[in-house]
Amino acid sequence: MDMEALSSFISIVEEGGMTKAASVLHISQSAMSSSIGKLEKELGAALFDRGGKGLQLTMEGEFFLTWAKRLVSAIDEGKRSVQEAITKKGIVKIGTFAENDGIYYLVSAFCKKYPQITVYLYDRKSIWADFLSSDLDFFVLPKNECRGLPSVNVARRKNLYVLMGSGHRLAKRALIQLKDLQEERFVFTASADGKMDSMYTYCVEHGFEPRVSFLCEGVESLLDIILQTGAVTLVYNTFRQFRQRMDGLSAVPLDGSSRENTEIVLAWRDGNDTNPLADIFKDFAVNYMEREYRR
Amino acid sequence: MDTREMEVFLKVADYHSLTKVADELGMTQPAVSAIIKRIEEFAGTPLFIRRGRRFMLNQAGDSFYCTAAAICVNVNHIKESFAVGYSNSRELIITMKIHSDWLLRKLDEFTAEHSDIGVTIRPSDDENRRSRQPWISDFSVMFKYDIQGMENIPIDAQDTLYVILPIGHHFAGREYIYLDELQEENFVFSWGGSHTGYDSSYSACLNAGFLPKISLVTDSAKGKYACIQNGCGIGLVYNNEMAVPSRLHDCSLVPIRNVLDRRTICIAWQSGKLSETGRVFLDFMQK
Repeated sequence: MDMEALSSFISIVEEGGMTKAASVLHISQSAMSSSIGKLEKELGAALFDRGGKGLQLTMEGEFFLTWAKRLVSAIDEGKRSVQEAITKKGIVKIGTFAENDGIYYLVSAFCKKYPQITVYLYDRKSIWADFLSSDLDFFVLPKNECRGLPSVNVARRKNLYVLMGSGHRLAKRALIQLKDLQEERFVFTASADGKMDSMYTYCVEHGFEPRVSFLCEGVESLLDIILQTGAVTLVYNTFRQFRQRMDGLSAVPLDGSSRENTEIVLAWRDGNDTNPLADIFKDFAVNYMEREYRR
Repeated sequence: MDTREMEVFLKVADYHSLTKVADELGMTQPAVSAIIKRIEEFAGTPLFIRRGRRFMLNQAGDSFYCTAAAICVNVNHIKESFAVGYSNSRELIITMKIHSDWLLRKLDEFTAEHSDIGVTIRPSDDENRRSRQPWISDFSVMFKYDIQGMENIPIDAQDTLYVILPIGHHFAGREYIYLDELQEENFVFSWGGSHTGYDSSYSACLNAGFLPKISLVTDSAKGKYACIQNGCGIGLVYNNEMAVPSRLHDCSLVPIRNVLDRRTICIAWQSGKLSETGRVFLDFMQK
């Protein structure tokens, strides 16, 4: 069924005749007549009463008129939805595989600017071995793990801090040595597959066996445990912004950890992708980080 | 733009391939490709992305799929109507996302008063993309919280929950019952649109403090009742759809105390897009 024929049909009824309708729609009368004829043939019924004066609708024509209006309205609505789909409405998915609270600032700024776009932020450092086959649009991870994907720098890991409750005996120190932590109870995160976070490895590599009292799977529990027990942990400097806006936590630099120097990047898949909003986020992120670095 | 071209688009979207569609329809691949191009011009934007040999819908394509599917389904409906000679000129179309006994009784009065208007009841959308037709009906019956910017009037409320018990069940003679007394039972649920996946009575169980044991889930109310009658388990039903369960043989309905949900049921329509029969119905409803 030809959609233009529907518009012609509606126009003929509204304008009261084919001549006027054809001129309103800028098509020839013969073209219009032939498309109505095709429509009637397709439906197997006459839509107009051709005997007598003027153009009268048959009963079938009345029935079809309501439908024609509904269909034309549906097409208009459909075109509008398509436009909406390609502009600023929908979902962007970001997975973070490296601790960096700068991402919250980037995402918040983005959400403020584009409130109709919903961001799904997956903050759990779960098994990401094959993030490329996930449906995430963006990944936050250390540059050396991003397998050559296009990316923009978002943070730099420079050194470690010992994170503890602000009532802890070491909380007022200016600097801490690993050996000062011999008697401390530690909390570390471990991923679902049992892989310990790299902080534990760091300790071991530097000849220090931490006493692990708590293991949690995910950053939420980590903060709770530190606030409510005497346990401590190690975090990168990239955790700075969040903890500075919170009471009850203290972070003291760990001596000797400043040889750390890794970029954390926001990476994305190259090439044509299903999500047009990803480009919007990407451009925003690039501009945002440029302004950040200029500060 | 012809519906035949839209059908081709839908097939390409379903099969992810131009060649498969060309083979099935006995067309050449370039012919199918030309149709896709015309559809994309009509929609005003690319609708597919290529992943190697596969054609995947992008976000705009996903949206246009619903439109194309709705148009095609309705055009087939129109042709069917003409083929069987049914062309009642005045048709009122209502999508029942939520069942309302009260509305059906009202429609009975309405059709008695307006004998030239025929009412078509459409079921709610299901998971099948092809039957998603959000706008080709005059009215939708839905929960008030689901209405997004449409004009609406409240018509009914879902506020009492009943349990359907097979006769002989030890609770069958009760005047009323508390939901948590049923926690050891096996339940029969229907699929529903809520975030739990089941109909909203499932959440009522969660709120009462237990996770119901489920023996059967079905997508038809009839199936649910039939299985309950056959001893498959017990079921829950709200006051807005009691017409069938209250008439079941070998079942008794016991009201549940203390279920505090109350959801308003409304009839909703797109403002400015009401058909003539729609207006007549609204006037009737507002009396």
